[in-house]
Amino acid sequence: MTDILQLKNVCVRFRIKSAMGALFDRTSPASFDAVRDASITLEEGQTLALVGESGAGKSTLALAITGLERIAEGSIQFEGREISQMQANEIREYRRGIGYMWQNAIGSLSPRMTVRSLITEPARIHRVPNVNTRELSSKLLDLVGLSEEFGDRYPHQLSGGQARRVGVARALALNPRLIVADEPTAGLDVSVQGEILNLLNQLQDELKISMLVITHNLNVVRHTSDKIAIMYLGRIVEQGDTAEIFSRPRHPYTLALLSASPSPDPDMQADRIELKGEIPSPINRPSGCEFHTRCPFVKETCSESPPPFEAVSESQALSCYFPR
Amino acid sequence: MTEPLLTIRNLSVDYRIDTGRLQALRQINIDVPKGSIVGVVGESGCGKSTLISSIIRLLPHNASVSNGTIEFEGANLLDLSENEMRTMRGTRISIVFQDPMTSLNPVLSIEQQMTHIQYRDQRSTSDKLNKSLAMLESVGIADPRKRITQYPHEYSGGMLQRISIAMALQAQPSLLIADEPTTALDATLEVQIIHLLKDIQAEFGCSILFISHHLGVIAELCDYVVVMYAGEVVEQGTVRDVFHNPAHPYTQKLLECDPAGIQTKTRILPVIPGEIPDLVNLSGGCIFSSRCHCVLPDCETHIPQRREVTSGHSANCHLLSA
Ligand SMILES: Nc1ncnc2c1ncn2[C@@H]1O[C@H](COP(=O)(O)OP(=O)(O)OP(=O)(O)O)[C@@H](O)[C@H]1O
Ligand SMILES: Nc1ncnc2c1ncn2[C@@H]1O[C@H](COP(=O)(O)OP(=O)(O)OP(=O)(O)O)[C@@H](O)[C@H]1O
Ligand SMILES: [Mg+2]
Ligand SMILES: [Mg+2]
Repeated sequence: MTDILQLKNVCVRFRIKSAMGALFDRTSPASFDAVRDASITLEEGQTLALVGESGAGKSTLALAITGLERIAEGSIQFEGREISQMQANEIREYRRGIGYMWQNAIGSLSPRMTVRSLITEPARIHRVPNVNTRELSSKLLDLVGLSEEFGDRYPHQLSGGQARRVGVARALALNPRLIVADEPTAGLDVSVQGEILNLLNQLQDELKISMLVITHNLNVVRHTSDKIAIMYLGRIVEQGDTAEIFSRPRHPYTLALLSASPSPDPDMQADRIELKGEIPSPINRPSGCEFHTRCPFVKETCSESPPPFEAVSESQALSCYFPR
Repeated sequence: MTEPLLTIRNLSVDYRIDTGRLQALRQINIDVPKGSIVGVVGESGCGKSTLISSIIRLLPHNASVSNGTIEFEGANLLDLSENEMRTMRGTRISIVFQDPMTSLNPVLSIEQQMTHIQYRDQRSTSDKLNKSLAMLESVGIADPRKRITQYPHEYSGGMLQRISIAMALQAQPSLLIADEPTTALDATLEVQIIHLLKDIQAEFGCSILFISHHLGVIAELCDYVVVMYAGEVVEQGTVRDVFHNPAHPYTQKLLECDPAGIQTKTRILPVIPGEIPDLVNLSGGCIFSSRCHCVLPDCETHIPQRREVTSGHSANCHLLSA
């Protein structure tokens, strides 16, 4: 199998503009890494799920992959080509080949445009010649299971699920090789969620699209992804085959994450590993292993120096001194 | 059930659209007892957000309430003046919207916004700031002192979600309405927010109307659950009754579709076949009949009435009277 996407030690850095920060604390830095040292690989035709805490840097990493956010360090290769070294026209072409589904489905849709013009907008943005808007929009609406009538609606006239389908349609507009979907099923009921995921799976099988899916829903991850990468505070802390990680999570954060998912049976007592302590901020990273402040299995060495990110089997890698 | 705080009776809401009148809510009956947490579940587009907008009277311009009452603390909310309603929203009823940016202003810092919503408060600015910082901390925003001066675009989606929860709680309302407040959160934070909401409920004795698609979250957090389909309530009762003995075929299917309940890995997830019916041109029968796996002759011609399954557990389905 070939890798379609390869990230090595990627860092994305944001400046802190706030003067208050400096006022309260003179030692606070002028910038921080929202993504730090992230390395992931996506094989052609596969689905990689990116999960992790809110604020962990998932969306930022996705934006970096789509070329919408600059990386400060590291490398991103698409089909073996470094994207930071591409010419302007190559970048355009590269970005055309990626279908991006924004995290906030309704908010990212311009309120003054009809669904028809929204889903065909990528063709205009990328100046694709000779597009029959009617035909394209009909095809796309059909692909995502919306009736023709929806073409004339405006975003505020859609339910959350309908807006999400519009997002899928938009991402598909230019026959992408790679779909980056940020929370594609957040806000959907379980049946429509199933439909969207089945739709993405089906499109993947038919069109051989590779996918990077960001999601909080571990049940979604379990059923739809081949590989999984778990992020904490901008770093990838564990990565591997989905089935393997679900059957044997090794990093304590992964363990906590997998045990947290609430069960639909009110009588099922969850056997949880609860995380205590404050969520650290990327502006002020803890010493040593950055998870040590909340780790239920913390030992003295953990706060001293950061554990390396190492393979523990052929397909599983993690950064922890004391894996489970 | 104990004394009700919110009582919705026969509520119907329409949207005017180009093709006609879209009947988004039809004859809704819901009770929120004092001090309880009531969950609302249902397919995307079934009218959950419309229900909330009706309660807080922030329906879009093309919407109108065609029937019903919404009793809250002795008054019909639908009869209040705009001014009275505004006060109600600021003090007695708080909302966490589905999209956090609905309640946040992109050009103001979080500090400005959190101070602004305390304008009724007589306390000093520094007291207000401290209250805001404490609130941010309680929803898990690290380094609140440094972060509070930042603008919404400098936060992640889940952080904005938590900030809007913090802002809704600042007023200590008697009714907190939350439209899918945990969808942007990972499982560990979701659990943390559930515990936070439970603690707040226990501490202030407020009631919570909680909209979510996550059946697990409803099961863990709520006392009662209301199941909606295409603008109608099809089943309601305690979470235990409804989730253990679902009486309506839609509820049964919904529970079957939850991937949390599917043990073996599958690439094709179960769905409820068919589409949500056209709410502009309604047929005369049961709203779920076109997708139901056990239709009776009556189902296509008569709208089923609400029937009790067991005490406090009811469903609108002809199977119950067959
Ligand atoms: N434009 C920006 N300027 C400054 N900081 C930012 C910016 N965008 C994101 N951040 C910060 O970077 C960190 C990572 O944010 P990101 O949106 O990538 O998180 P996420 O993992 O997608 O979270 P969520 O699950 O809540 O969507 C957060 O601390 C966030 O506040
Ligand atoms: N302003 C509007 N004008 C016309 N139709 C609308 C408007 N707002 C909502 N609708 C329609 O009313 C119905 C109910 O929408 P609503 O947003 O209340 O659903 P919901 O249950 O909140 O869905 P979701 O779970 O996807 O958020 C849908 O068919 C939707 O398309
Ligand atoms: Mg995000
Ligand atoms: Mg909604």
